[in-house]
Amino acid sequence: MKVFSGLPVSIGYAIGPALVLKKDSLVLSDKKNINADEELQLFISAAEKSRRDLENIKKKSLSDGRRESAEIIDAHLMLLDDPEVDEQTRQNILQGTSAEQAYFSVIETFRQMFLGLKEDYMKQRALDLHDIRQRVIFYMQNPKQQYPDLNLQEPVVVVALDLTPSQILSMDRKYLLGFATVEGGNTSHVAILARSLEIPSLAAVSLEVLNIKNGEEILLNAEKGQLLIETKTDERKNFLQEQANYNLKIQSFAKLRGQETKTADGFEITLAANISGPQDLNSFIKNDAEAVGLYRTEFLFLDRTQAPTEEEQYAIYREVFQGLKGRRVLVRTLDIGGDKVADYLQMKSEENPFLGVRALRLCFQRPEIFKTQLRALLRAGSDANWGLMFPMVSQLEELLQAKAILEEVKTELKSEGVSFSHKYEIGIMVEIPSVAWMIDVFAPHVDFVSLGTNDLLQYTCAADRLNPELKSIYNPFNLGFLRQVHHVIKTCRENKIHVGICGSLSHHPLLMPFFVGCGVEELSMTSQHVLPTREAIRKLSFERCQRLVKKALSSTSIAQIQEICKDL
Amino acid sequence: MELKKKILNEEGLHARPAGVLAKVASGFQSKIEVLFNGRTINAKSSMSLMTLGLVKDSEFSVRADGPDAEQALLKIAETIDNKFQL
Repeated sequence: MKVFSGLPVSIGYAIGPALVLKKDSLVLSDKKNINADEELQLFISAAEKSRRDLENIKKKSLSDGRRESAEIIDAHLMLLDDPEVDEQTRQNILQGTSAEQAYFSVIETFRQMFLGLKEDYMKQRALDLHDIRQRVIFYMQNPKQQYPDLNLQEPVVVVALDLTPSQILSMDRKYLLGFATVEGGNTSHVAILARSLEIPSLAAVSLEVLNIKNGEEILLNAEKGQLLIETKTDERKNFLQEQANYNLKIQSFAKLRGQETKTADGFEITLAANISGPQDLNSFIKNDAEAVGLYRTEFLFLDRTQAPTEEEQYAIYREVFQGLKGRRVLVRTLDIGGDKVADYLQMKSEENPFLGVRALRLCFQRPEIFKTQLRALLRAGSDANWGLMFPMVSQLEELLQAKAILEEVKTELKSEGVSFSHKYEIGIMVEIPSVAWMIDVFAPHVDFVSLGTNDLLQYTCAADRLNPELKSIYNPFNLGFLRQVHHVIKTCRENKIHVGICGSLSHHPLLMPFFVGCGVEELSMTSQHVLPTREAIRKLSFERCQRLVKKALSSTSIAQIQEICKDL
Repeated sequence: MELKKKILNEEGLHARPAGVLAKVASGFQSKIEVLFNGRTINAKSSMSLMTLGLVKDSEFSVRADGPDAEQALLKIAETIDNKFQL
């Protein structure tokens, strides 16, 4: 058996014959003796064939009820029919250029202009142009053939250097079992599409996969992140077993959709999702999350050359608020610093970035960035059910300062006559021990708090959570850590402050019952963990969880606490 | 004939609004151009419109030349004021 590992971008299993798409590199032919009439005809018919392809893809998307996909194709059709592209291409051809050369350079000029625009949205449009150009030039070079992305005739697992959105949309979903690409990552458009269409897929697979022969059987495990070929009987059997287990699990979770999240003895908990933007809304809905306990806004600020404008942020926040249709969303203000850096901020390098200028501390140093975000949020939230959550607070003064800046922003908006949200909650992340122990002091100033367990644990144990050598020290069964969590939840409940957990421990199989026993009101996690966690909660007894807490808090060793949690 | 306008919708001239504007302009015989930032482009081309990078509050001019120039400008002004909702 040969194993290729890759990054699972859309979870699932697939087994079937390989269809290897060699790199669709564009090599323009070097034509001599150009006949302008022939070239013109070549251009017209290539555009027509491309249009016909796209119309077919669009029809299929619409009949499958995928409006979102149809809109992507609509944008492509618009580019294809553009009078300026048409005009300039014709002119170039009449001046003696080949159709390929002419079309390529006209599109290239537009592509470069898009790449030069400030907004990321516009930069993305350059990809659409690339996508269209591949198709049109293919038809110029191969007038009698069909563009290779279409017409899958039988179920296949596609292997390619990279795929474009239109290629994926054009493939018949029932024949596209799964795919693996050498390029791409979790946030590419193709990955987003794969998740929304639920096509198992891997990205970042080694270049060698392109040597797989067409028709050779591929076993794709996009749960573990593996692509297998040349499997022996028992290896194949193993894979099929894993696939069956996975399917069973998915089916049993599907039954939990629409069910209440409460323990067998009736203690109710809100199961919320952590999201980073509109791209996560599909998964939110699919997994039946009940609210958003953590909206990480920093992803909007990463991987770019300058901070997003107020308008850009407004449009994104609005999309999220509207997509959630009134369900509560806690928005965390910019948390950059630590392991997340943005080059354009030109932050000074620090000895200990996790103990340095990050999150709210950075926002206080760069009030213009902080204020722009607050403006965008206040404007976007006007009819939403939302809360504003400040990260990395270590003392009350910081919260008061953040609130004062918020008031300044509101005064500015008011004086400009801009309408904005007046109804929202205010809260903090509890991720620094000092705040955990003085949470009662914060109570009169907040509506909610959310425990960021990853950071709280690393700051409590003074162990870098990214350092694998400290794994035994960065241990969530540490009594000092659990006492803090218990103290925060208990104090919040006594003061009627809404309390949740948004760190990745929220769905920890052994510790989740401990949090329930403490009386936590909300657990927030990546959407895909929501249904499994709901299932686990429905089997719990609140009373037993409470007893577990008591026992755990009076233990002394990590091993002992772990045993108690296992014994529940 | 020329007319000064301002982008009112939040996202600026993204693909959809640009498509709407180009479509409206294409319904007229007149030559229609948009002037912004020292550039003059064909308003019937959504691609060219997008390359202007018009965002909310950007001020620009629309110029029409031809037999139906007046109707064209009226309709285009209305489209922009309606934030490109057809």
